[in-house]
Amino acid sequence: MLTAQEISTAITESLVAGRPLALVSLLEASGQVLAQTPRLLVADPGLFVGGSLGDEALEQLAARHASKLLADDRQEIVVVSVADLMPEDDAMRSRWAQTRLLFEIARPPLELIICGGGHVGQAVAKVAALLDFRITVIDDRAEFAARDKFPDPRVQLLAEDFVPALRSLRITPATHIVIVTRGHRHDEICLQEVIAQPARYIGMIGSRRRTTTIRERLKREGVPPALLQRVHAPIGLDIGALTPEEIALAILAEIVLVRRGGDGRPKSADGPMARAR
Amino acid sequence: MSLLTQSQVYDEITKAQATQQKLAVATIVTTSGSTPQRTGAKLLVFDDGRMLGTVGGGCVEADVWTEARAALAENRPRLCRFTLRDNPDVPPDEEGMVCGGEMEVFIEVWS
Repeated sequence: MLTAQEISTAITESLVAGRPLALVSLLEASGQVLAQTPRLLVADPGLFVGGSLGDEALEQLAARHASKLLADDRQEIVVVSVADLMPEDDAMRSRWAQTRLLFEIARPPLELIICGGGHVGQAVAKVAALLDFRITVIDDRAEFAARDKFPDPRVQLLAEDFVPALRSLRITPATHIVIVTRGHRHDEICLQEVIAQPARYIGMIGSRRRTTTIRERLKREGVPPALLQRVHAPIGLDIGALTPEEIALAILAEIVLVRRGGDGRPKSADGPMARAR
Repeated sequence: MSLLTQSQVYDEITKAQATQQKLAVATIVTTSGSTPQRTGAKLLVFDDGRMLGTVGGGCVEADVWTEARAALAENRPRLCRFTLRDNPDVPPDEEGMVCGGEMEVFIEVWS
């Protein structure tokens, strides 16, 4: 049986390394809740980290399903009937009737790197704090990477040149990067620095014309088209945003959409926005 | 509202165990229909009555607390099903609650 200490340590180690971890619990066996809940820890891609479900075939099935969930950002917790994991095998299905597994995925905290501490960067930090991001702000002007501009003490401030600052940070699949510096030259430098990194989201502010120019220049410099296609530029959902706060909302809305999936349209089918559908 | 993370939960259990304290961990594992509750939400109920986290507040939280206390007393895990029905004696408009779903809460005891 896994102890709480073992589970806690395994989760911490995995998250520090920027990797998610699945905790699989035998919720009920043949319709019964067991006195002690058997548990299994599974890392991506389907690696056993510890624990036991008391049956090897069941563990294989659980690991296979866990690796599917680990690979899908939207999955956090799900209960699955074991029989549904083996629909082709009638004998196994009856053996595991009324047996359910609980999958819980621990994911590294979401990170947000904001390049640029100007009005938009400040507003992005405010909105992102609501969504529990761990925020780092970079600006080469010390007066902008400053506590009076970012009063939330949880925001990490780096008053350095963009490239060395970006290189000093660990960029993982839990990292989101918002490029909103004071000018296109710095935006381009930041984009070039991070474009090949495994970040979940890279967005850059700018008009369609300006961002197209930057894309084309990077392409000529040999950046593969597949990398350029990952970049959200111009940044944000089109909600008609004008003020820095509205732009921040549009950016974070896009980040949520990327992570959770969705189509970015109004939900009401026959409300005032119906024409937009 | 930010929910307790998995790390926080197992850290808390480890801490409680270090001081010989028993606790129940209630997790919303499934929901169906219309409920304001979120799957994965956890409520920790300690032997001394202290609580940490939330399963979404309201009447459900009180019901989960009661079940957690019973699980602690019995020293056994349990799986509870709750139906979030509007009170039939009160017209829905007056009650102002938008429920009508079901949920399952898994309660485990760590000692």
